[in-house]
Amino acid sequence: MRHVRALRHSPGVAMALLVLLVWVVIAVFWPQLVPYGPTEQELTSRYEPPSAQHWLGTDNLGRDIFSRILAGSRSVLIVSVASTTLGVAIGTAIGLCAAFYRGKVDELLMRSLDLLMAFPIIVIASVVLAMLGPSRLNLVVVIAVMLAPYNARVVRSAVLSWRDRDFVAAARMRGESGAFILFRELLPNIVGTLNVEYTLRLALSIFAVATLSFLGFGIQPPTPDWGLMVSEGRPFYQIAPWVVVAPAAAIASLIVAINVVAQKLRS
Amino acid sequence: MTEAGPVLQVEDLSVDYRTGAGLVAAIRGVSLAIASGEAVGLVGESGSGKTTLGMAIMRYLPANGQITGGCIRYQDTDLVPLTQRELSRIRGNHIAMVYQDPSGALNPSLRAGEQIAEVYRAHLGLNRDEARGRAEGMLELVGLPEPHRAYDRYPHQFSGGQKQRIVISMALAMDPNLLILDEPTTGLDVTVESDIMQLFADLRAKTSAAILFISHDIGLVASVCERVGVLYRGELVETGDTEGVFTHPTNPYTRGLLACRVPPGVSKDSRRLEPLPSGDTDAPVGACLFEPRCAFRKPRCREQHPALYPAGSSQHSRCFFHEEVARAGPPTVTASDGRAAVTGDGALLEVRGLRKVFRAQGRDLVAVADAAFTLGPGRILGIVGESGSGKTTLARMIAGLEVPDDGEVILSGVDVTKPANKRSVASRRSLQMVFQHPDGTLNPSHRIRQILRRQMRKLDAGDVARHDETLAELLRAVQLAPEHLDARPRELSGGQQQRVAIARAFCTGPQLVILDEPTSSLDVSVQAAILNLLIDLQRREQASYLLISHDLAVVRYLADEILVMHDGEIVEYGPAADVFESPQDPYTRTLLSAVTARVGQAPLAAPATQPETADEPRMPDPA
Repeated sequence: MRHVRALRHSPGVAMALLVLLVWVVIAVFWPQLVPYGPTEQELTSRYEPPSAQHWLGTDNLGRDIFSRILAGSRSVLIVSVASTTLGVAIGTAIGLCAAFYRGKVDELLMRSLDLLMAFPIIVIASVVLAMLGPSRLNLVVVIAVMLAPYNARVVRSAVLSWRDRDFVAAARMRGESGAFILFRELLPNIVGTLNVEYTLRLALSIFAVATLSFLGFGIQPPTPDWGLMVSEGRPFYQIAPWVVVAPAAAIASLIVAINVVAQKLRS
Repeated sequence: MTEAGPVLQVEDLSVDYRTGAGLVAAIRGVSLAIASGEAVGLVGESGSGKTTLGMAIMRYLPANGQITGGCIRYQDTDLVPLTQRELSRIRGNHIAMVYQDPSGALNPSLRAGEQIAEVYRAHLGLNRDEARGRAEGMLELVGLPEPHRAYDRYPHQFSGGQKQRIVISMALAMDPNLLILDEPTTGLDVTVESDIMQLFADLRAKTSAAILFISHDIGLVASVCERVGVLYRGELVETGDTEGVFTHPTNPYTRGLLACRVPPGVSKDSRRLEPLPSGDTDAPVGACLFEPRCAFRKPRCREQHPALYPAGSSQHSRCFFHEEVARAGPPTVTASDGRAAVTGDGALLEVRGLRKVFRAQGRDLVAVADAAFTLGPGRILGIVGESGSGKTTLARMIAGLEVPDDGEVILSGVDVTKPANKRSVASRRSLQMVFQHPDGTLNPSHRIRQILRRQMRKLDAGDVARHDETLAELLRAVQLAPEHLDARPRELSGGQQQRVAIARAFCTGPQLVILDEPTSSLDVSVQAAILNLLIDLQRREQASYLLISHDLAVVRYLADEILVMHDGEIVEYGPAADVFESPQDPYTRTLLSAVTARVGQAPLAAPATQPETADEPRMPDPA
């Protein structure tokens, strides 16, 4: 109740949460919501501008863009949430260990992560995906691995500010194991940091999914996917701009909404 | 009012803070005046508003603080309505402040001397060389050796005490008429503190500045100030001549504060401390703010708020019954019940040739060199030394938090020279520790019940079925209520947090408890209660203590034996009475003299002619 009341004072955040909620509902229920099948082709009505029949127009194969956008939300959300969860889990584990054990463990972990971070995320992801072959699972794993280092660094510095508190010394004198101290004593104290981290990484992950699909390393045609739709529509955007604008706007709406929420969590 | 009015006159000043819970009054109608050449002390515990008052006079209140009433007159100017621009001229030239933390007041990327010279360039328009000359003069004045070389060094190249000297020289640079000192020696070692206090005494002979000295330490205030005000929750509860207030208090709070101090040179066997009741409950609206903790309270105190009444020869007291308080005389000495702990034979703890070297930037730093001592059952060993003397490292090695490079730790005949998690459960159970910072000692995300139960479960302390019973009994022993079990640490006060930490140490029936500065971050009124608790528990449980403290009065009070550390070495070790009465080592003598200088009650150096002050109308002598 307190949170609901707090939202009234920040309409931006309320709006962002509403946008996210709508996308989640669409991702779950799109089969009941779409007016046309997302892969249904109607070659007689290609490049039709938005109208009462086709709210967002049709693409080069006469498919209804509105239906494809609704259907595409599911894969974007599943892949980005899965990869963020995995990435933050890996990053948190690494960050906790590096900060708690310090010394050689810290050096080894953090320098390896530096190495990984030296390459632009998209370049290395596309190389790996080209080798492994594009699949949803590969996409999730590759994005998770690319996100983890950033997360690990933030977690590490958050833990560093806690590890020298006396309650950790008390736990050590009690004879607690390293794992207990990490997950039961330290982790609960950085939950706030993790929430902010998760939302920020989620926005990054959505962007990465869309970019990789756009480049052809992600979701494969004819499955509806926002990044792929931008890519497919790109050659025709001069004659039919709505083919590109609609999926791009969908991506933007998600990312902006998540960033607004992250900003709020941080303060 | 006398011919030359007071330099500073604060009248009926009120300050509020906006917080999440609404407006909180920090200063409630405070009036005080300081004349030129006079030093006025302001004492109070944490949260009493003493720092807020200093900040308000400087008009440096944080953004959520606002002056809601009253005026602050500097000479003839009211500072309250001034703009920041007008203020900055007065602040630089006329009013200066020295803060508690010297490192925060110095810019780490500028040379120390230039930070002083900057004052001259900005305010007097001097050129580089002239400003440098003046700055070096100031460094010399505050007693820094080789001012010419000190000028070119950076703040991090100075020790804490030297940094505070630099800050003081910056404050004095423009020869201010009003100097506000806010806990200027808190956090410094005792020997450094006594040097800085001597510096203030010397400076008072050279300048005629009015001084407002803010401190929680009654001894320090008594050594510097002619007059003093006692603050309680934003309100002045007693004012008057330092000597009168501190020897014949007319307010129950002042009296309580004096009574709960650890008297210098006294041992636990001869006297019991007299703590103030805890201040965890609020007084009802319109009542006397001190009523819930007051030993003299009457029904009237709950119905009416007392004004500041003239009391005694020079004093004013905010108490309806100040005459009764004055008649009660200085706080009485309660004799200890004389029950000494039963001490057994043999050694509970034996430390042999313990050594620890830290490597920092390619250099070896010997933190502890070949420490050796034994501690018998039921004894209290005090370890004293200044920061960096290795006393904490020694304790951490004994606790198993640090692995020694050499030597052994024997506990009840068992070699425990290894990290805590490699020790047997029995060893871990019998050696416990109470840490310095109450706010760091308990995990903020756990409830008190969780913290204590985990301790008992992990260390197999007795029958699991009886844990709840043990817990309830323990809670009574440390004077906490059962509902505190469901609280989280941040909902408790510092004193309550430390009680929980003590309960955690004692819930496994330990034979040896290491106390690392157990009361140094607590207020005096809380400190007395915690020290009494520690003594009671020690007698009840027949435990031994290893007490680390920089506060020699506390160590003298508690310890049976004393170990003095200096630069990692044990320089003196023996029975407490011997070490304090006839110290053998020169370092121990320095340490002890620094403290005795401090407890001297008379002002160190009052100016030759003391101007008449016009604070409040003085009462004619009742005689």
